[in-house]
Amino acid sequence: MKRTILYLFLLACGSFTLGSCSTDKLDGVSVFDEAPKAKTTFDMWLEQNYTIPYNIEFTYRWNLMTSDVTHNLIPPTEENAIALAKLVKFLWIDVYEEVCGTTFLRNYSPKQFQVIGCAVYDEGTIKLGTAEGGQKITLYVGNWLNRYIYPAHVNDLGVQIPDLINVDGLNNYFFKTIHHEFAHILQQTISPDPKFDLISVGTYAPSSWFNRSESEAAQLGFVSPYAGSAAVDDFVEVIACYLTMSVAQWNQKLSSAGTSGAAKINQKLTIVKDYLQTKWNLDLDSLRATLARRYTELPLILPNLYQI
Amino acid sequence: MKKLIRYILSLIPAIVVCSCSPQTDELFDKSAATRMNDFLANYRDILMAAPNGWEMAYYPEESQIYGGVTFLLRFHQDTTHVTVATVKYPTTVSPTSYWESTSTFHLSGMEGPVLTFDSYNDIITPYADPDSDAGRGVGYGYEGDIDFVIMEATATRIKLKGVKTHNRLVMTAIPAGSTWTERIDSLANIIADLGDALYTNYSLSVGNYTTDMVEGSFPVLAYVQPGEADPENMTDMAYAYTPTGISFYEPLKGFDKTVQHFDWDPAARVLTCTDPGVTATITPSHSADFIHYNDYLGSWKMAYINYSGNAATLNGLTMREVPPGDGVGKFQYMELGPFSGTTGFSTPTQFYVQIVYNKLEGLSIVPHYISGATHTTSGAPLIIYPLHPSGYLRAVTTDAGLPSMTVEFGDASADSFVVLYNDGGTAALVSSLYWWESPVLTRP
Repeated sequence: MKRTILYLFLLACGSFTLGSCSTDKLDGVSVFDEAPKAKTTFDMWLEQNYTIPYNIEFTYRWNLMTSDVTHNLIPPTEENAIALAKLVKFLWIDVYEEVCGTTFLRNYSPKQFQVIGCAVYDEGTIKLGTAEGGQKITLYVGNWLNRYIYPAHVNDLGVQIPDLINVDGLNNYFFKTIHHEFAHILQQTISPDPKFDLISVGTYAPSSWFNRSESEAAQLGFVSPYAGSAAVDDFVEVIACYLTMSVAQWNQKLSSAGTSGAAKINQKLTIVKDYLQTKWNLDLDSLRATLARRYTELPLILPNLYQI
Repeated sequence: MKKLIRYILSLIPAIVVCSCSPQTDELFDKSAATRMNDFLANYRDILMAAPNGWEMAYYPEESQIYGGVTFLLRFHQDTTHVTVATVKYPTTVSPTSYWESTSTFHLSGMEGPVLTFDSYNDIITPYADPDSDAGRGVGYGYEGDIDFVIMEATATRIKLKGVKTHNRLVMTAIPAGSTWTERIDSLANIIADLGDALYTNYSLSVGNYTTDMVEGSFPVLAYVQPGEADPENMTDMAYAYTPTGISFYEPLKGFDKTVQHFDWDPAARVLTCTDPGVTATITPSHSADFIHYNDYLGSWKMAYINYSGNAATLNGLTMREVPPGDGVGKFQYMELGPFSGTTGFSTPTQFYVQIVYNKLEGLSIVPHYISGATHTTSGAPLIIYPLHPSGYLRAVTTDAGLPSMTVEFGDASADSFVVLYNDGGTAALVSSLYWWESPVLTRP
């Protein structure tokens, strides 16, 4: 009986092997849509200013497969997408290039910026941006851009409206997110000094950080309520806030933090600056000064910001 | 017994060998990827091939609670661009009613072949925008789709399903010879004549069955199905205006025949079902106390407080139609005047204040439509609140930032209403009207 089973087993193995030896031809058709797509003037501008020099893709057309499918979302208007592309170039790419050089940017910049027109609404909160593995940054609320920056024009009622440049609005809704996410890429590439994590150990609140006000967070030594969610976010929030806050706003933050809070924030800033300087040869103050200068130069690009 | 088991076991290799045979017949003669690409290419051709484009009733929100809206669509030969047209609201007849927007689309394979409106289209995209304060408000909007699974497509008819709402939509090829302008004009006429008449009562008749229908603030009619004992248990049916009448999202429930498409007879003021083999009508009417458009026309005098704080009266005002019409309940423009320009006008002159009439929304003065004035600046909209038939002003919040209000007013007739002004504006006209403090119009 045992021998019979053994023979049968060997015979079965043989038949499997024979069957598996048959050749299947590979289908020459790709599952990806490779049909050439018509390029607009804006698409060509993106190719020249993002893709060719930095290998960055800037997408503004709606694609359900690459978006958050659990929410109703829409693409930005082309005008807002154009303006945002120009601003990200002017206030982020060009700033890092000036301070850190092209190679640094090519090596470490996220490879894709995706712009969504509206906010992601969740139980009373809105999401402004997300980052996926240091590769892709999604910016939401693209259609809010013209609320914060818009050139002088005559409105529908015939009234002359002056130039609008709301730096705080631009930072809060767009650029702080980009600095935050890019800092994550640096942080994930070369680990910072673990001493940082000990400064506020025990006060991180991963699931209730949003219940703290700005000043409550500051008094605990956090530059923003979100910084109090986890040490990894605390680290990048110090960078993002330090870059996007004016000197006056930063000093106000330290003053609202009180002695103990300010001491912690300063301690964190010292570690952050040292990390960027020693690991990345990046002078945070120089980056901050360059960025501040760029903001004063915004009127130069404002008149044609929404056109290609 | 052992022999038997051996015989049975000896059959197993045969089965295994058979199952491993490479000679299996493929269920499809092409791979899934090839078939999907073929489908997409075929659908792309069908979309672009319709010589006069497509007409579609678009329904946002998974239960169609906001009703539908009719779009015309043309997919360009460059395989990238799509033009969408509809009626511009407020509805006026051509050429001002026509509104189109061109954006981009693509086809892709997801849960089937999917048609996506992938860049911002001024007409379709706002229905999917959660930033919109329409529908359920900011955070939701109208909750519509911009991605549609293509369920079925022929040269004359494409069935779509919204990816998120799962609403089933139909695109029909527009017949050659019918121009887009004509269709949009017809649609505008139906909306102006039927929709903007703001009928308060509807009567549905299907064969021998007759029942009342109730309309909400969107194109949705509710009725009691035949055989339903509870008169409170009503069925909501969304519909959309079409160039010839109205079409419901799906056949009316409770009937054994399809009752879905109706043509509007403007003379008889009745909607007649065009589906084969069925006799059905919907007859709209106004309640007895409804204030009609032409109730506002004619002579008025205005009492107000002047800039010195004293009561004053302006006699000899006239409310007239623009352009002159029949005065029957349409969404229309009216003019009130003449007024004399004072402060803020470079050249004092007589002018009329143009007013947009909408029975539900009230009367809105739109300063930049003022005729007869020589100035060029204008201000925030002024609002006239019509009297509610019970004698109360309607409570309305406006975009101009005026507070919502309910004002008790003694006269329950349509012969008086109150003009409010927005003194928060900065333009010249608003400041010139500043002196009409607390204006009240009454019949002379």
